[in-house]
Formats: sequence, structure tokens, C-alpha cells
Amino acid sequence: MEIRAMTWGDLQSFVFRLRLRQPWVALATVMLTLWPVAHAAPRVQGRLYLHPTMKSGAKAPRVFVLLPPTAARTVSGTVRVLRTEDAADLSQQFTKLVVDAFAQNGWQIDRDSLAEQSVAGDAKLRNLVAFLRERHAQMVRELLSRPKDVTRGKFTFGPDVAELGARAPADALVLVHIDASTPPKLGLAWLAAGSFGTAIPGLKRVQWDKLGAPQISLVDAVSGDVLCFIRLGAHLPESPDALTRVLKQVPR
Amino acid sequence: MRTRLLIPLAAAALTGALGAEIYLHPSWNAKARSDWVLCALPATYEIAVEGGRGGGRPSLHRQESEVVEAQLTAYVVHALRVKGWTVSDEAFQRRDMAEDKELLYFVSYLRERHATLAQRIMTSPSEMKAGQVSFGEPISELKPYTKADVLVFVHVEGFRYTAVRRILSFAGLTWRPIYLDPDVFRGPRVRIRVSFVETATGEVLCFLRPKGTGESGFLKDLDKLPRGAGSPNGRQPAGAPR
Repeated sequence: MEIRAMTWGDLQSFVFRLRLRQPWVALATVMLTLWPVAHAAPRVQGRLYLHPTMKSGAKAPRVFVLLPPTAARTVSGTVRVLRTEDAADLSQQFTKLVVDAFAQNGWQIDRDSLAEQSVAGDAKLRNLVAFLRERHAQMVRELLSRPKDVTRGKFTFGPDVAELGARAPADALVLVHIDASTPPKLGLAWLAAGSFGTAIPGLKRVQWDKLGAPQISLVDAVSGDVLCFIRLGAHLPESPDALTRVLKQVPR
Repeated sequence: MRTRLLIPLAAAALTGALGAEIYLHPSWNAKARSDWVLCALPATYEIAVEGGRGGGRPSLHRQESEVVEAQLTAYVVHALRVKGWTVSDEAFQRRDMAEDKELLYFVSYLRERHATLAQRIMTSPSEMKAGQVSFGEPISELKPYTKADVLVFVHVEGFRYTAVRRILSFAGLTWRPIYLDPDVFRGPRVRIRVSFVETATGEVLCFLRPKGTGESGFLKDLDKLPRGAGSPNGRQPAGAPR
């Protein structure tokens, strides 16, 4: 038996024998290689993007006012309706989590002044809050696409915010948007079930309260500039300390 | 014999499953008039994009989203006109309302309220059929801005994925968000929800939830909406765009 070192030709022949030249085999190989790597990688708890004035320390808000969180509802594989009570529960739950995280960082946060019940009697304030929430839900799409533009000071809500700041005195507004999307594991089940997934009773009941990675914006109450954008990688209800840890990185 | 029975039953079940769901206010038949002037507010939409960890995320730039809103509204207005409804040209687009901030904020509130009411109607249609769903008094604040009898709210839900995205999602790889083509709304994975709201009272008179998807599905299902007595029922009015 002849023993010799492996040459480039041998390797090519080995690869050829593996049928890697066939696209589907190549794709399957890449997937099987990358899947464990992707899942083994440590999960980022959250990213923080700061406005230049925040980074330099020129602005350091201490008093915050929270707007009622908005929730988007997407399920990998289909579009589902988040029931009204679910949306309300989700909003309440996240309000509490965000308020707790801010309080743990020693910040004062007002959750009541702009709550839905509080603004119900004042049509002007109610409309303005709705406008800002809608605007933020739309802006989140841009913020997620180009988060580094926050560090260049490109995102602003404009002077509309000032009116709100006058009604609820604070240094900054806290706007929260929740992506209530299914987790990857359930996503795989949906994927396996395909569009018939809706017919499977076990999958129909999506536990929304266990979902949701919020995106949080701190907005200057006077200028309307987005001072800070927090993109949380963890599901907040599952790991409530994640936000506290990220908030600790905000300069004071 | 059994086949003869089963085929019509299956066909009926299939037709029922694919047909529109129209939830009408008890007073619809009494109130619906063929000469109603409708006014469509800017559409809201929600798009799920397959792929990435934690499910899909919508990804549209603000400018693009305004284009999408305007296109969706124009599309629904066109469909209503084709089906014989009179739709006013007041569109309450953002750029039209730039001067009047109060109106801009109010329209935002109404759109948000509609999204909530639409969820409520879809989860408990009985409330709608019992006439319990209403915008309430605030809607009368819009009266100075429009002469329309009925406001039309549009909410569009869409879903988009690509084969590559699906494979990458399966592999657990994060995939950068893609920029959506507004034409996706005409595709097969789109659901259009339309509400008819009486301007005077704020009552949701009709909620149309077509099960058919895309443009053709919506047009077909719009035919099933009863128009009340003396309506043109599909006849194209003079001057309406084709």
C-alpha cells in the first residue's frame, strides 16, 4: 500500500466524489456547517446607539416620561392578528419592565402622565401622543435598518415633541416599540407546517406574552432628536435584567 | 349517490372558506345609500418579512412608507370607484396636512383607533354585528375637513418571503432586512381590511374582511357588499377612472 501526502488534485477528487458541485448538496453542506456555529454564538443582549450630544456628555437626561408602548405582531410564516387584549397585556407588561429597568438605574420615569387613560380627556394631547407613537413605530423600521445614523444625529421627531414636553415636564420621552414575533423554534415548526400551520391547534395559540424584543428610543423633549436608540437582542420578559445592563452603558 | 352529495357539499364548504367576510352594522341596510360620498383615509399596513432571528421585521424607509400609504389608498379608492361608489378626492395625505398639524395628529389618532377596532372586530365579530363597535364622538371633529358621509379606513396585512430567505431562516442565520416593493401589496399574500365609518356618528357600519387575497380577491369581494335599496350595484359612474 502506497502512502503519500494529499495533493490538491486528491482534494478536488474528494470534493467531486462528495457531489459538492451539485448546488443542493453544496447548500445543504453550508447550512449544516453554519447552523451549529450560528446557534453556538453568544447572543447579543442589546445594542446602544447614542446621539453625539449624549456621547459627549453635553446632554444627560435624568427625568423621563413614558409613552404607551406600541406592538407590532409578526409571525414567521404568516400574518396573524394580535388580539386586542393581548396587545393591551403586552403593553402593560412592557411598561412595567421598562419602568423597573429605568428605576434600577436611578432614573425618574413618569408612566402615568401620558398613559391612555390620562390623555383621554384632552383631545389635543391624545392626538399628539397617537401621532408620536405612530411616527415612532414607522421610524423604528429606519432605525433598525440604519442604527448608526443615530450616532450621526440624523434621526429627529422635530419640534412637534416640544408641545408634549410642555404638557408632561421631562428631559426626554421614552418610546417603546415591541416586535411581538414568534421565537425561532416556533418559527421552525411553522416552517415545517407551512401555510397549513394555521390548522394545527397546538400552534395556533401563540404565547405573545413570552415574546417581544423591544426597541426603545429616548427622545429629547425639546428638540425632538433621538438621543439614544436601544435595540434589545433578548426577549425582555425572559431576561428582564438585559435592559438594565444596557441602560448602565448610557453616560450620565 | 354519495359522490353526488359530497361534491356540492365540498364545493359549498370551499366557497364559504374562500368567500368574503362582511360584518354589517344592524342599521346598514337602512342607512346604505347609493349616493353616499366616501372619503378614504391614508391606509395603514403591516408587513411581515420572513427570516432572521425572532421572526421577520418590517423594513421600509419613511419616504417609502409614505409612498406605500398613498399607493394603497389610491388603489382602494380606484377599486371602490370601479365598483360604482363615489369617492371624494380628499385623501388626507401627510403632505396635504403638513400645514395643519392638528389635523395631522387627529388623523394619526383615528388610524390608530381603527387598527385597534379592526382587531376587536376580527376577534369578536358578534360585537360588530350587534352594532357595538364605534369610534365614538371624536370622529365628528373631522367634519369641518370633509363633506363625506362615510369614511373609509384601510388596513393592509401582507407577508413576503423568498425561497432563499426561508432557507436562511431555517439555517438560523440573520438576514438583513430587504426593502419592500410597493407592488408586493398586489401580490397573493395580502389581506385588505376595509371599514366604512359613518362620519356623523362614528359607528362602524361595515367591516369588509376579504378572504381572497391580492388585487383580484379584493375586487371580487367588494361585489358582495350589499348596497342598500336603489344602488347602482357595480355600474360604473360617469367620469370614474377605469
